[in-house]
Amino acid sequence: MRILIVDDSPDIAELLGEIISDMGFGISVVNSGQAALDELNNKGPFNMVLVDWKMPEMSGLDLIKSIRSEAKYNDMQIIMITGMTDLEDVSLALESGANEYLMKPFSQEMVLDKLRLCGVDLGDQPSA
Amino acid sequence: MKAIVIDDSKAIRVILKKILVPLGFEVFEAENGQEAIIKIAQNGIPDIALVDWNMPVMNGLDFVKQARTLINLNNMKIMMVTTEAEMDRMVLALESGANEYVMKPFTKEIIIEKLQILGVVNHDQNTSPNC
Repeated sequence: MRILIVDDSPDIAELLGEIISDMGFGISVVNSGQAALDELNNKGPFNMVLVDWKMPEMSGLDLIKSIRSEAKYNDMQIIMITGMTDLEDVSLALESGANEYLMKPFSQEMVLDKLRLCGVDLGDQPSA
Repeated sequence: MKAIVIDDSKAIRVILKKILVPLGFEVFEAENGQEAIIKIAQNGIPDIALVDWNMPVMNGLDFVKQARTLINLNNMKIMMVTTEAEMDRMVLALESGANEYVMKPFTKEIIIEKLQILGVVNHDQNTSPNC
């Protein structure tokens, strides 16, 4: 299992990286949408992408749309991670191709629950 | 008809689901208000939300307030199901947009009666006292 983390906040990226690498999964971290596309193209395959919504230049939403426009990423699981909490925002992210949606602030358990919902086998890790 | 049960207690969610499913509801669950918004986005707007008050992340009252500020959730019926028994708390919930208020512990009959009052269950639907 290889997971790409896309967040322009180093603190959030580090926190997500720790949670996921503690599960024994391989991680890669980038800080922009374009860097994410480059990483997917050059260092793939990845099974999953965790995407921050609000990033400069290319937003997380545009990144998701770009990923979903390519058939080779059809099986890619995508989780949108954001502080945006309105129903319209959640609906837009899901309609644009996110499989799951995680609102900030999040806990380790919340991240693991979302991974489970995306079909990731976490073994004996207790659910929240 | 769709219903969402929002409660951080899995036991309560299971009990309410067992009441709602035989009444013909498609039921989905959420552990808190934030998860409820995500579940609604994923599953469509329910006819009724049964909402606990005290939950982590986003409590029931904040969920009610947010639901009532969203045009597309404004017609969703909301029933608070809570241990909060003070009259001023009940008034606050109703003023914030809840349509009905049920105190825990509840019975199946009370839930069904409130659903009937809200018009999401017919009066001739099963009200047998087995819960």
